[in-house]
Parts: sequence; structure tokens; C-alpha cells
Amino acid sequence: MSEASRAGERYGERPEVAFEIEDTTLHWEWRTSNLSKRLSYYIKRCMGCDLCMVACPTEAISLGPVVEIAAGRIEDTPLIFIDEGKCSFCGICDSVCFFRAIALSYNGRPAEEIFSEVKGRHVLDEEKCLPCLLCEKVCQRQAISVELKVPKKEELVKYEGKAEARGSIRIDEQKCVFCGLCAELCDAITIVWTDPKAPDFKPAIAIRVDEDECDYCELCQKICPVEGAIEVVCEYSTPRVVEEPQIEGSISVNEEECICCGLCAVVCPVNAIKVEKPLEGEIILQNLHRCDPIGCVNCFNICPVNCIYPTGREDKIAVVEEVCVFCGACQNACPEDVIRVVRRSYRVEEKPEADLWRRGRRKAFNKLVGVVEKPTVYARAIEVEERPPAPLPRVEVGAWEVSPEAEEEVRKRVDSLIETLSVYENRLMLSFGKVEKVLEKADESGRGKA
Amino acid sequence: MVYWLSPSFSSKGVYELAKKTALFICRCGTNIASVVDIEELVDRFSKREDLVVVEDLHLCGDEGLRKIEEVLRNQEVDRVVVAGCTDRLHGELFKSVVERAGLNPGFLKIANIREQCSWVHWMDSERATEKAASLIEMALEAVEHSSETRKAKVPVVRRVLVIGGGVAGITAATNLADAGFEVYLVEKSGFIGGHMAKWDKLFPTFDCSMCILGPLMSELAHKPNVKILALSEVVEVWGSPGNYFARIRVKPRYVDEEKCDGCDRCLDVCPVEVPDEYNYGIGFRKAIVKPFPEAIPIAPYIDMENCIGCQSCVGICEPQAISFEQREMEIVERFGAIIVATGYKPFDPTPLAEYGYGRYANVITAPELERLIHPGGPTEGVLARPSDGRVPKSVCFIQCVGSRSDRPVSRPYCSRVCCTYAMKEAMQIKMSWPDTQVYIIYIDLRAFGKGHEELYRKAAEAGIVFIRGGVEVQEIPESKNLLLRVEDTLSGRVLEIEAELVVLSVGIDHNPDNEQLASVLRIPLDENGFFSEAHPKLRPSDTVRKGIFVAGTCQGPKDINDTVAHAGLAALRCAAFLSEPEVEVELLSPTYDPSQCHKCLLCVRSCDFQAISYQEGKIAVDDLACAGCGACVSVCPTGALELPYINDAEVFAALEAALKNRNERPLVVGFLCNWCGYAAADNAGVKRIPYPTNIRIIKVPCTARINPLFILKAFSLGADGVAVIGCYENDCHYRGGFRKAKSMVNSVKKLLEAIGLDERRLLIESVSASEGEKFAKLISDFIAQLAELGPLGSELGGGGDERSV
Repeated sequence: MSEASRAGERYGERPEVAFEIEDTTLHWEWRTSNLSKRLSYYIKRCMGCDLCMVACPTEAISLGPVVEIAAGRIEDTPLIFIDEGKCSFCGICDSVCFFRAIALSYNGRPAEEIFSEVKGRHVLDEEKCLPCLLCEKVCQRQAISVELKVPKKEELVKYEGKAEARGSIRIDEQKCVFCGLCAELCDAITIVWTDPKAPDFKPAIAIRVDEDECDYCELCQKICPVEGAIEVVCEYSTPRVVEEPQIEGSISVNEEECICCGLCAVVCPVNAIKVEKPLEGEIILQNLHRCDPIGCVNCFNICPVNCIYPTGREDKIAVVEEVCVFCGACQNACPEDVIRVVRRSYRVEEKPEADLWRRGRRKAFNKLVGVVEKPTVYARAIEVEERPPAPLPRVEVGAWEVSPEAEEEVRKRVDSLIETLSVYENRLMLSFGKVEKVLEKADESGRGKA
Repeated sequence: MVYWLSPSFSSKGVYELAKKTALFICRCGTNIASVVDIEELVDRFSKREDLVVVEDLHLCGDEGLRKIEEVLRNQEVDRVVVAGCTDRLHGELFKSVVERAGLNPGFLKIANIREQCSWVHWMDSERATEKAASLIEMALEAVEHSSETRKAKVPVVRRVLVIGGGVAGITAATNLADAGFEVYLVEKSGFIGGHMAKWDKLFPTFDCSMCILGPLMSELAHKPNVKILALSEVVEVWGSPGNYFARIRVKPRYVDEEKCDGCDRCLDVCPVEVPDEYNYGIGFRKAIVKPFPEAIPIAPYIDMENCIGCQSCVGICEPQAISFEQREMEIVERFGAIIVATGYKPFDPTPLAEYGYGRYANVITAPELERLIHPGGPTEGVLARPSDGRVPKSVCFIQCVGSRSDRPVSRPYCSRVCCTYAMKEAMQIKMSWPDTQVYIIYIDLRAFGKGHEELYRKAAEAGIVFIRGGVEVQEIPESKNLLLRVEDTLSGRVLEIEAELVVLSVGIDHNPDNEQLASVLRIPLDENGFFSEAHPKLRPSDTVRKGIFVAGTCQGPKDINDTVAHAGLAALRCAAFLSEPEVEVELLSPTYDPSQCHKCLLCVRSCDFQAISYQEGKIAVDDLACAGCGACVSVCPTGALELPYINDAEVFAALEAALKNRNERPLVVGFLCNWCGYAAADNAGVKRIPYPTNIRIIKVPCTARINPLFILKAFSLGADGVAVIGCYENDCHYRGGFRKAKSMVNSVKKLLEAIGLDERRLLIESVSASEGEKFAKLISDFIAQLAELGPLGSELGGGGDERSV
């Protein structure tokens, strides 16, 4: 910083900002002797949405080459730029980023412990949950893992003698949700798994029964959560005891990965999951004539929940709004301005400690949904025409040769004045402004001395 | 050493020299220590055997104060020097500690090494350290010759609640505190000062508002019997006259007033910017708020509507004064009487569609204009129009906006101030931007106050165009200029004027909070929402309720003069109501030695307060009437009068110390008056405006205190220049003080010329307390000029004998 620009500024300890790169994570540390604020940006987690940029109160964040990254032309590049000079390390970016790509800590304490966040919520109704494998299979973020214990069919069906049966079994693939329970139960059923894709996110392409292995015990029908998906008719069997199947298991969610898109809730055959998304809104597709879903796959690539898909029809692409989190990454990745994301509302995970800053930070959150509070005053900014900064006052003394003789002479002359003025009458004259009279007296005494 | 000036010094034996002096050096966190090398100072002064040297991180903190008291109690110390911030800030605090430790507070001197050293010389640590050392030596020498503070008993203490911290509340509180009453001053906003603090200059004399108000506020804040509660409201009052109870709600400031040292660095780091309501929405402020540097309390507050909790202020605050733990609290206290001084609100012209305020960018109100031309305002004093930031070439004032009208949105009364303030603002525009054409469109000009008609004449002479008539405003969309259609009722013509800026002279509207307060206090409002007085002529400060008084514009429109008079009356009525016990006050009056007196009566003539009289062959000093300016002392030709709180000997001693080494040249001695010159130097410090280190400042109560011999002695000791800096003549806190100083300085200039010195070595100038920039420039220019003139004596031309008389 040049000296001139420091004029008028208050000095003293200034916060220092240190920068550090660790693999694909960038760290900044704002430090004074009282406080350290550490901001970490995880490139791998960043989606290239603009939530942090929109909410940032100091406009310190700008978007990186999201289009190129979505197109796969560059890799491992930051999708946002953080201007450390503007950044105040307030952590609002951390509070709005539900991808957890930004994390701030105060003297080591994570900001998420302190501040309310824009965040979704999921609740599992354990009474209703079977559980089955479906949510794990469909989750686009691999955030769900299901531990499932389904008894094997052989353990449940006990024949007194030889096992023989006759009947029919029919699986309706239209109705089947591919929860996988029947296949876990019975080896006669095989599911051909695949990657679930929009728009229906079916995790399998087919389900088959090997009728040679089937004894029409009807357990698969019993275990199936969807009515009418499996229909078994047993016409005859040798004597047997069929136990009811008991499913045990638990679902765990990796909160680091889950962004509450709600896909699990959408597919759950028993409505056991309730999800509130972090953001709600609407996607508007425009300029479709410019969209080229074959040559360009940017939006499909970047979508964190893969909810955009090519339709193969005239409308070219579509979005499954049910699971869209309205993060806006697709909008930024689209080179042709086809996608517009309109955010309408957000959900806040309140932290009691943050109550003091609720109003202040809510204003930043409001920017996500385009709400800007009207100021209570008639607000005007006046940009005064720039004036050149005043130069620093420095006195450059050129030839400053002090002459002791001259100074001594001055001293003598001034002292003689002082002496003159120490006389009552002379001083009186000065007070009446009769400087000449004083000087006369001074001259007399001066001469007298000489 | 014997002082040749008044032989009486040694013979009187009053000024016994010090045995041992305690020197306390404050680091003020890094405020001082990051520029001034404290270790070096400690090292240097520790070598002296007559000193006890102590340094501390924050002397004003509890720990620091305890340290001072401990040293004073346990060491054989009889003089004290504190090197730290300006004594205008913590002087009273240190005095009270010194007194507690059993030493007379007169034996304390303060070396200002913050506002007048580290804060302005940050660009050169080495020279700042040298200067600090020099300032400390000056204080050390001065304190050796200092005299005891004298006190007198005057009557005391009951408690008064003053509601509202504008000039009315401040005046009432000051008067009551001086009369020995305990005062609670409750202010709704974050700081006291009210509307007056926003004003740049005041009519009709163009005196600087802050120069009057700043010291008044600071003085009030330091009175031990005054408690200022900002961000506070009176929510409930009960009890009976003489015995009221009030419940006061105090909102959290989130900054500990005790700990904050007023460095304002938190304002720099706060990232939040919101429209600044202090400037009526023009420009921005931070979420941690302090609208002007002189604000009292000195601690900013955090606006939780907008704070985002980033903690940057916490990180930067050295005294760790930020406290998010603060919660709203309520105080219940007993009061004998209550003074209501809730002031006014500028009329909001938005509903008056014909003027386009709120629609047209370049239509502003007069209070907004005042902020624009205020050096501390959003444009730093540049009259910039909102649409493009340009200085307008034509400005049109429209009078009676919202006043004297029967329309339901307007007020029926005359606001009494708008005519004169418009003329004042118009004149100020003319003075600073002579090319700008200024019009005032009025209905009737009411310049009825003292000096107001004269101002009108001056305005007319200055080329301001007055047009009588009604007006309508329309914006020209391309240029954002405004087209005014004026019906000139004098000539009967319709005029069209294109103005680049339109200023609405809005009136004084009642404070909307009055209604609620009226019900809390159970006193009536009038039909316009102002508080009703008991009798418009005989009891204008009383209300119908005994023991509750009104002061200032909360009772009706007033200018500052009338407000202060009204507030004074309220205080007096209040004091009379509460009767009188006793309190101790410091005497600022001179001592008198009849044996020295030649009875020239110059002192009697010099006193503007009739505090000195000649009775029965003797000079008599009225201690309580004396304001302490020292004019009498400096004109006394024999030294019969002496001012104990700043005596001649200490000034000479300070001069000797300042000019002892002269290791930086040119070297200037500055004599600065307490109220404007010294305050402006502090203001430059608060704003961190640098100027060269080559000046040693000696504070005097008034420039009239400067004995011509001080100046001559400075030159005799080798000063290259002497600067006398005081108030503007109209602002003088002792009426004619600066005028007297000016004539004295002119005489001395002639003397200097006569002995062959360049009279430009002696500077006399005026500044106002908020003109830190001007002060810094004055000093920089003066020193640059001296650098050109060359060292003292170089004009003698080879040191010859010829003396030109």
C-alpha cells in the first residue's frame, strides 16, 4: 500500500490474511492477535452454483470458468474466486453452501456450530420404513446406506417331506419399484440393476423370476411393498409351514453428502421419508432453439442431483423439479442461457446461539430469493468526483545551514526586547499598541548596553 | 532557575520545585506503541534519577488506574506526568486518581502523545518517538512549576432526569451538574449531540457548531455527577414531584464503554454497509456505528439489525471492548425532577408532490445540504449533487416547505429558523463556490433574530437572488436539472429558472415520540404535537406537572440561541424547585499579589466577564464569575496576577524543554487554545491526517492567555517559528479572547520586524474544532514556509549589527 493512500486511515494492528493450498482445498486465514478466522474452500465439493456469490455481503466472490469445467475441458479448478481483500470472513458463504464446499472457523470453532444455515431437513418415519434398498440405490449423492437383514426364503418355508408345488407367479414391471426385497429373500428372483436416471430414477431395468426355482410360497408377494406388483398363485404344494418374513435393518445418512434433494422421499414406496429442501423455486427453460443436448452436456454434468435429462423430443431437455434443489449450477454452466433458476424460498436451520445475528444474516439469505429490504430512509449514494489524494506533508529542507552566530545575535536582540518589556511602563505601552515607543526604549537600552 | 520575568516567582516561594516526578507512559494498545518506541522512551527517562517511570498497556483501564494510584501512594512522588491520549479525553479521569492518591490534581500534566503524535506521525516512527520524548520533557518541566488546584465549596446534590441529549438536554444537564445536582441524561440514539452536531456552521455568525458543542459534550461526559445513558428510553414514570421514579430501558451497545479507547478501527474492518440515516440516507455507514469523531460516548455501538456476526471488530479491538454478551437492561432510579428535551424532527417533504422530493434526485432538504457541506459529512464537505456528484452551478432554495400552510400534510406555524438557515447556507455556498448562482424563493422573509436582518443584507450583497412567490418543480429528464416555475408576486410575472440543485427549507416538525412520552409523564401536548408549557409568557419552561420541565424545541420551534436560553431556564426552574445543598468546584480564577500591582487596571479592562474590579484601591477577583481565560494575567505588566492552573513559569519551562535540543529544524512552537486550536489538532489525530513532526504544542485556555513574552522567549530560545492558533473570532469561548490575541500578535510582529526578523515567523490563525484537515494544512504550510525562510537569524544577513527600526 502506498503511503499516500494511507493518509487519513487509522493504523495500528491490521488483520493479516495468509493463504495456503492443500491438495484440492484452499485455505485463507484472517488473523489478529485476538482472533483467527479460517476459511476453507473444498474445490471437489463445489458445484459452481452461485449461492455464496449472491449472499456474500462484500461481493468478494465471483464465479470461475463454470462452463468449461462443466464441459470437462478443465479439471480441479476452483469454480469460484474469493477475493481475500474484500472478504470479511463472515462465513455467510459457509451458511448458505449446503454442499459444504466452504467452511469457516473462529479460533478453531466451526461457524456452523454458531450460525444458522440454509439447509434442508430429512425425517425418517421408522415405523413406516420397511426398510428396503431403494433409497440407497437411487441416491445421487451416495449419501444413504442401508443395512438390511432379510431372512432367506429357505429358512422360512419348511416342508414336511418332499418339496413340490405348482402355481403361477407374475411380476408387473410397471408397478415394481425395484426395492430389491424380493431378490434378497429369494434366489429365484433376479433384478438387473442399473444407474438410476432422470426422470424416473428407476434403479433397475428388469426383474426376472426363474420359475424352475419358484415354489409359489407367496413370500415375495407378502414382502413386496407395492400392491399388485407380484402376484403369486399356488395351486398345489406338498405340506409345508410358511413363516412370516421379518425384515430388520437400519438406514444411515451421511450428512456430509446429503443435500436434501428429496429423491429418496419421492421414490420411497411407503412414504417413510419426509424431506424439506433447502431451497424451493422454479426452473424456466428459455431460448430452447439454442440448446444442443447432444453436443453439450454441461447441465447434465454439473447438476448435483442429476435431475436434468434430454427428452429426445422437440423440447430437448427437462428438469425433475421434484428433486431439483434450485442451486443454480445449471444456469451458470449453460453456455446458451437456456436455463433460468428462480428461487422462491429457503429453509433455515436455526442455531440458538446465532439469535443475535438473525436479522443481519437473514438479509444475506434473502438475497438468495431476490428479496432486498427497502431501507427505512430515502437512501442515496453520492459519488463525488475523484479528487487527487493530498500529498503527504514532508518538509524537505534544502540548504539549512544553521549559523550559531546569527542565532546568538537573534537571542541577544530578542532578549533585549524582553528586558525592555519587563519594565512596567514599556509593557504598558505595548498593551496600548504603541509599538514604536517600545522600540525607542529598546534602542536606548540596547545602545546603553553597547 | 530564577525566572527573570517576574522576580516574584522565587520570592513568593509558592512554586517549590519537585522532589520526584512519576512519569506514566501509556501504550494505548498499539495506538501509541505501534508508532512511538515506548521501550526507547522508558529507557531514556529511566536514566533520570528524579523520575519514576511506569509504562502500561492502557492507563485509562482499571488496572492502569490502580497502578497509578499504587505508585503515587508508595513512592515519594509529588508531581505526575501522564503521557497518553489528549487530556481532553481522560484528563479528568487521571485528575481524580491523582486526587484519590492524596496529591493535588494541579500537580498533574498530560503529554499528548496520541492525537498529537502517534496518530499524526505514523509515517515516521523515529521522529515521532523523538517528538514524544520532547513532549514528555515539556510536560515534566511544566509540572515542576505547576501550582495547586484551588477549590471552593458550592451547594449540592439531588438527582435530575434529563430526557434527550441534544443541545437543549446538554445545556440543561450541564447547568444542573454545575449547580451540584446529579444528572441522568437519557438519549434515545447512540450518541448525544442531537441535530446541532449535524450542523456545520450556525447562523448568523457562521461559527462552527462542533467547536461549541464538542467541548460542551466532552465536559459533560467527564462531570462526575453526570451519567449519560445512550440508546436508552424512559418507559415508565411514577411517584410525586420531588420524588419521581423512572424506569429506563437501556439497549445493549455491544461495545464496553469502559474499555473502548475510541480508536474507531472497528469502523474500518466492518464489512457491512447500509444507508446512513444520520445523513438522512445519503451515503453509507457500517454496522458498527459512530457518526462523527467527537461523538460522546466515545464508544461506537453495534447495530444488530445489520450486524452479520463476522467478528472482525472483535479481532481488531485491542482493549477487547466488543461484548456480544450485553443484554437489554432496565434501570429504576429516583429523581427529584425531570426535564424533557426531546427536540424535533425535520419536516418530511415527501407528501408535497409539487417539489418532487423523493422522485427527483437533485431535490434535497436543507438539513441534507448541511451534511453535504459539513467536512465530516458523506462527501467530506463537497457540495455534490446526488445525480452525478458534480458541484451544481445553480442552487435554488425553496422556503416555507411544510410550514405556514393550511394543507393537511403541512404545518400551520412558522418554524422560525428556515429563513435564516437558508441565507446562511446560501452564503456558505457562495463563499466556497463563488461561481454558483444561488436563489432563495420565499413567501415572507422573517429574519427577526439578533443579527439575522444583517445576515439578510449580507446575503443580498453577496449576490444571492431573492424571489418572492410560489413555486413548482419539474425535473428535466436528460440533465436531471430542475425547472422551477415561479410566480413572482412582486413583479407579477411568471419566471422559469433552471436549477442544478433544489434545496427545500423544511421546517421543524414535532418529534413523533412525544405522544408516547406525554402519556408516560402525563403532561399535555399542544395541537401541533409539541409539549405544552404552563404559561406561554411567564412559565415557558414549566409544565402543568410540578417538577417536570420542558427545554428546547420539544416545546415549539426555536433556533439554537432560544433553545439554550429555554434550556437554561428549565435548568434554573428545576434547580430552584430542588433547593440547594453543597458541592466542590475547581477555581480557574487568577491569584492576586497586591505588592506587585501598579494599578494600571489593564486587567479590569481586559476582562470580558466583569470578574475583576477595582475596589478601594485594590484589585478584586470574583472567583466564581471568572471564566479562566487568562487574558488579565497575560496583560499584567508586573506579574501581580497569576493563573495557578496554567502559570507563566510552567509555560516558560515547557518552552525551555521544547527548544532544548532542537534536533529537528525548522522547529515551531504552537500555542493552541483549548477549545478550537487544540481540539482541531486532536481532530486531525482522530482522522489520522498527517503533518510534519516539527511542532511542539503548548495548550492554553485561550489565545488571550498568551503573554507576548512567551512568543519572544520562544524566539530567544531559538524557535524558527511560533504559531498561535485559536478559534474563529465569533467562536471565541471567552468572547473577545482571539481578538485580543490578534492585536497582541500584530504588535509582536512589528517588534520582530524591528529587530530584523521576518514577521512571517509568527503565525496567527483560526480553526474550528472539527477542522483537523485545515489544522494539518496550516501547520504543514507554515513549516514549509519556514523551510524556505531558512533557520532563525538567516534573515539578519551575516549577523551584522544594523538594526532596522
